[in-house]
Amino acid sequence: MTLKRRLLNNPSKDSYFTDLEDRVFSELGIEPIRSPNRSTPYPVASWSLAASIALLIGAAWLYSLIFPTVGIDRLATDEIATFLSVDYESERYLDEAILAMGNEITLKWHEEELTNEDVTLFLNETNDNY
Amino acid sequence: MTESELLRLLSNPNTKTRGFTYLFDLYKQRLYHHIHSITHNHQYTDDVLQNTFIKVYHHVDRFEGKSSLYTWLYRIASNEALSFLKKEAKHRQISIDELRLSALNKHQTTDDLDIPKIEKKLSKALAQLPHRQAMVFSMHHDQHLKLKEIAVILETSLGNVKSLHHLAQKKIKTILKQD
Repeated sequence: MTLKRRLLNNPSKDSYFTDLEDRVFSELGIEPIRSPNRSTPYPVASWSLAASIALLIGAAWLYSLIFPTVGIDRLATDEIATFLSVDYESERYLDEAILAMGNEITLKWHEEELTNEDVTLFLNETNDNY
Repeated sequence: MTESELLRLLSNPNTKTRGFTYLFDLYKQRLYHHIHSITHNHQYTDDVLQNTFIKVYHHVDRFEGKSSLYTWLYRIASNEALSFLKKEAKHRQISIDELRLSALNKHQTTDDLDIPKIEKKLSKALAQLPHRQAMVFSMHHDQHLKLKEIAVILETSLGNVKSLHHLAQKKIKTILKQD
């Protein structure tokens, strides 16, 4: 199949996908059709949307004042160890923490060598979470 | 919109374009990242993604619903990406893995889409893995697909996927540690 190729020099995310959409739909000879529900039929809708967003932001701010949270970057080694001992999801969470922070201490915790027995167990288990 | 609603739109010639527009919006980014995790090159990804969507449009009528729609989409994208790499590697007379590495070094990379530095590091590490290991790791961690789903997409056993994932994890940790 011969496809149009364009040189994409440093495209931004949005312009890239717009460009891709143009090429795909033009190759197929169709026009994108979007649901009318996406647009706001009445001017008042934009006001109510803006009011809802403002309310949400306000609520989130209040919530953050009342219940301060600990970000991934503030996880202590002990907390990470606790996560590790829980289940596979926690390991994934930890992976994300490693990827997000490149935190050396976190990495050390995570890099503990598995024994052959661990690997065998891991490969043979039929956990539904997978 | 549920998957069955989307499939209804896609299976009716009068609503197929609307369904396809919705599908395109829904999956364009996810499939981009999936394909990029295999090719490690923006230009290759662009070609493969375009081909994938065109194939999906033409063959969606043949989708039998035996798996979920996104599993089917990922399978098409994976096959397209691997076929592309095979063809390109054959043309250059190198292996697929050598091609992925050279693609990462020579061409535009994920810089194009404003991906954070740490993900670029991971992308580099992934490019150093054999392509099947990289695919499994990326599908599980980036796309949050379950290993069972990955096995269906790649048409292999769950044990094999677990093994590939485990090997990938170990190698990535080693590479990141050296970095």
